[in-house]
Amino acid sequence: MTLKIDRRLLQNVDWGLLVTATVLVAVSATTLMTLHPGRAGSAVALRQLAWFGIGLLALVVVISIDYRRFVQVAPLFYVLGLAGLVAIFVVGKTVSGARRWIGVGAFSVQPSEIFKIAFVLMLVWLLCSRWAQPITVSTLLWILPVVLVPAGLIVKQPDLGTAVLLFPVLILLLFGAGISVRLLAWIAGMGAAAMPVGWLLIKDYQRERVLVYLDPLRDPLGSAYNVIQAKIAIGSGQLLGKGVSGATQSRLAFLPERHTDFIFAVFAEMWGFVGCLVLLAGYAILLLRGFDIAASSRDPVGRLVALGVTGLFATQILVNVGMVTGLLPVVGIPLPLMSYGGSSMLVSLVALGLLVSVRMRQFQ
Amino acid sequence: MIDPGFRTRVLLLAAVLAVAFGTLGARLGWLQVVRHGELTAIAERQYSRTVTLHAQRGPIVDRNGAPLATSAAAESLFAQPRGVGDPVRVAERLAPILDLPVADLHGMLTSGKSFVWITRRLDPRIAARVKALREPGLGFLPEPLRLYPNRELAAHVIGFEGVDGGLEGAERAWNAELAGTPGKALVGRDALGREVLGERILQPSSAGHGVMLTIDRTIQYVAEREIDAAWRRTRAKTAMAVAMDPRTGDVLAIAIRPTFNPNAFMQASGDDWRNRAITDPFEPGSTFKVILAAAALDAGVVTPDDRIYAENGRITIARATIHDWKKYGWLTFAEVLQNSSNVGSIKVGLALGRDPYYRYITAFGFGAPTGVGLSGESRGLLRDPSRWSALSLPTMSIGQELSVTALQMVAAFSAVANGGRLMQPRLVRATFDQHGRELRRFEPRAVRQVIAPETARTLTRMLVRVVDSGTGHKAAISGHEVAGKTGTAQKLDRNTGRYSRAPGVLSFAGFTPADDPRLAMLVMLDEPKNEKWGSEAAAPIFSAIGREVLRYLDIAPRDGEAVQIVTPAVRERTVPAVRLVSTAAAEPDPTGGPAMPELHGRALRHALQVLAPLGVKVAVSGRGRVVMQEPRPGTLIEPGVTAKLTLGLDERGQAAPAGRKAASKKGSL
Repeated sequence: MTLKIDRRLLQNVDWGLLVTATVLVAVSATTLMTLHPGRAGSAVALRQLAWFGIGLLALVVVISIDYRRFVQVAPLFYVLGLAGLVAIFVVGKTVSGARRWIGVGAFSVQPSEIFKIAFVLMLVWLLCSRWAQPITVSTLLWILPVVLVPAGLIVKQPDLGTAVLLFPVLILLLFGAGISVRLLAWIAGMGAAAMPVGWLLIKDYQRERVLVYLDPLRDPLGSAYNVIQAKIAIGSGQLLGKGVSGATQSRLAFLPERHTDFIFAVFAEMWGFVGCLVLLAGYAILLLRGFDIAASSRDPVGRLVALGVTGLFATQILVNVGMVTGLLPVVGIPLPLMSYGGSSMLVSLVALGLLVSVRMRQFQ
Repeated sequence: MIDPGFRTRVLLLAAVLAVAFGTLGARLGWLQVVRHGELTAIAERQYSRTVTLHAQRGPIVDRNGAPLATSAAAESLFAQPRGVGDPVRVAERLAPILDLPVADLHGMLTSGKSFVWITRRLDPRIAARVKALREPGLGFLPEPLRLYPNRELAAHVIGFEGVDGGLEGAERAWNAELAGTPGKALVGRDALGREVLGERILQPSSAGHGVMLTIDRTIQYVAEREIDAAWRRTRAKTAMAVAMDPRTGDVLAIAIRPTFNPNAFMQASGDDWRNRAITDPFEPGSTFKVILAAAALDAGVVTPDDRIYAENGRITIARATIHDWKKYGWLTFAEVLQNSSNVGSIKVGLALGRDPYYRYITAFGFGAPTGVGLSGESRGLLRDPSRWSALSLPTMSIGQELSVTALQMVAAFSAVANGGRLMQPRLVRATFDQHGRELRRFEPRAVRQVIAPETARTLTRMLVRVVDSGTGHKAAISGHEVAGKTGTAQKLDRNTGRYSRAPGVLSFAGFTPADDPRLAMLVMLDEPKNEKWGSEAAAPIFSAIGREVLRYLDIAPRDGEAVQIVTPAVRERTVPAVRLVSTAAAEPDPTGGPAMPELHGRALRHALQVLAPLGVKVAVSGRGRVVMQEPRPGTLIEPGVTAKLTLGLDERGQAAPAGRKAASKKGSL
């Protein structure tokens, strides 16, 4: 592996993408800083920025290497990722009733976050294999365990959100890889049929979340508390927001998980509808550039890598904001670049790195 | 390999993405633009809560300004179970501090409520230890604490205050004045209920007004001491003394046994709370012959020297025979009263006639509430003359077949003492604001001239003879003339419907000094077990109380000899009078104002006595003796300053001597 980067490659770095991402992280850091008065707020924001720095280093490493190399060794990453998921059950730390973290020195790593990248690369590797084209039912049957095994492991943590995330990414990649519309419809049918089975497999609290989604007043102080408080926070932000000091919902701890999964509600309370549209526009720029990179790449592998990574971002953003605004059931998915969390930040930047890398090498 | 329509497919995906983002935007618009009002209101309701600011309840003071009821602030511990981290640990940490069972605390901390009181009105040192735990979900709220520094003293007059204001006595009757107006404050709260963002006072609370009673604490104390002793000695069911200034109608003392401690009124039975002097009418018996005499003399039916044949001690009317205790022959009317002859009285009553007698009875205030201003006042029993039987006039002439309250009786005797003018019994002299400025003054009010002043004078001379050489001789006070009359009333036996032989109500009603009455008083013992005769049981109590009260009022003995008054305890005013500062006559204090006294080691009662005249508001925490005070001793007292007193128990864990009332009270008088 070489860290030497061709000058030509540097000319094709997508600065717009990186600037947008940096702005989003800056918004994240300021939001986190205002959540707590004084030093506590700065400490959280600084840690987030530190992870951004680490993520940037990772990004530089990623773009310096041809993404095709990563795809080539995807099965290795995938197996390592699976090992990480299994390791959780052996050495994992339990936080709020879920084993999602592994302690590494002073840090805690969330293997399911890191697995997402390995998963995208693995699917690209599979779909670009000669035997996978054209996509048929037998291809699908080969791919199925590759999805179901990690999904099962992640559900067991339990981390329903990340597990659910794998399926849209799969569909997106299949679509990008040219699956016939008929087959896609067939999959959709199968998926719908599998839903009752899934209902039986998930945990009680997860079932409760879905029920609460259907009827928020079912348990206003229990499982629906998050959703209701988030809605109150967003709604009371009104058109222009309450500003930092007026954000009572967020700053007075009515809003749970406000650093992480529900940070969008904090932002919405502080900056209102206008602020939210600006933030969503930022994410839209990010995603559209991702699609543009996919569409502009001449390399089938590059296309799928870009598409998969963009799909990963898109799904997370849509599910997170949908969940916070009460459009979707509550599943624990962070908002990329905004939510506090080292693993998430690292993975987001690695994913961005892959996008940038595809753009840099789009003509190769 | 890859589908050539990849570009198309990506465009399609971008379109899907656009729709999804559009949905999110629409959703945000729905929440933030359309429904913002509703959701904002919920948010505000959630974080801000209106709390009541308790108003300081006004004090009740005696006629000289000595505190009878005061208010202090105390802290109460509450928990918000949702905010408590680990109920088991918190319960285990709290239990030894509060001396409560862990299980009980755990139960409170795990109850589904959002707010639970754990201990009301905590000792400040215990409160400090709880605060030191720094457990989330626990908090303190100031709660006013009503203190009755004199414990049982005048308990029936003062009454007491419950959670919703005054429940009995003056506390109840004057609740509107005392209560003040609670204020409102908006307090921001976070999800754990901790107060944040400070308070915004929407409406400040205004302190209640003080009420100055006509009760004289010293006279009240003397009356209570004697009544208490008599009640124990005679083992009477109830005992009471009601004292009045006959010139003004001011109620000076109402002493009743059994009694209760208003600081712990819940420990007494509701029966003991009753102010029997106004709620429980009794059949007066012979004391009522004074009313008959007043009526007969005023109507001109008899003169004191008219001779009346007492029929050798028995008279039969309407087939009922009424006896005298002795077989009297011819008696003057004065002697009839002096010997309490039933026969003689009945003859006078018959001579007076039904309607005139009834008119005089009602003119003296019987059969109607006195309007003293306390709730639950009885009118007594007085039947309309149209419903009187043939026996009614004779029996009512000797004080039977009707009932009166002690206060009615004292008011009637006061009228005789006051030259025949009935004064409205008065319990409240004035109300004043928190700075001691007078707000309302209640002047003495004459109800009516019941009998001519001449009649009153004549009757008084007759009543003096009753005490000097008649049935009331034990009521005599050396050096002073006492006018009065004993009373013995048998009670109707519920089983036989006849007057029982058992001792009933023994009483003595009278006033002194006879020529310039300053004290009218009724002493009454209900069903004493040891003493049978009114003259033997009630009269000496009148004498004992009267003697000390006259001395306390500084009334010179009649014989004019210079007498060294050797009663320093009475003369010593432990309670400097509260200045009832009239707004008109506020004089600047040339010394620059009073200084804060040293209070360390004093019982709360004493500390309040010392502070009361200084116009200092007092915030008290804890129980026992003063261990800390703020401002420091010697500091100049600025107007409106609040003195903070922290109390603690001494080494033996004993409360201040306020708890040992008998000893300390005896010592101070």
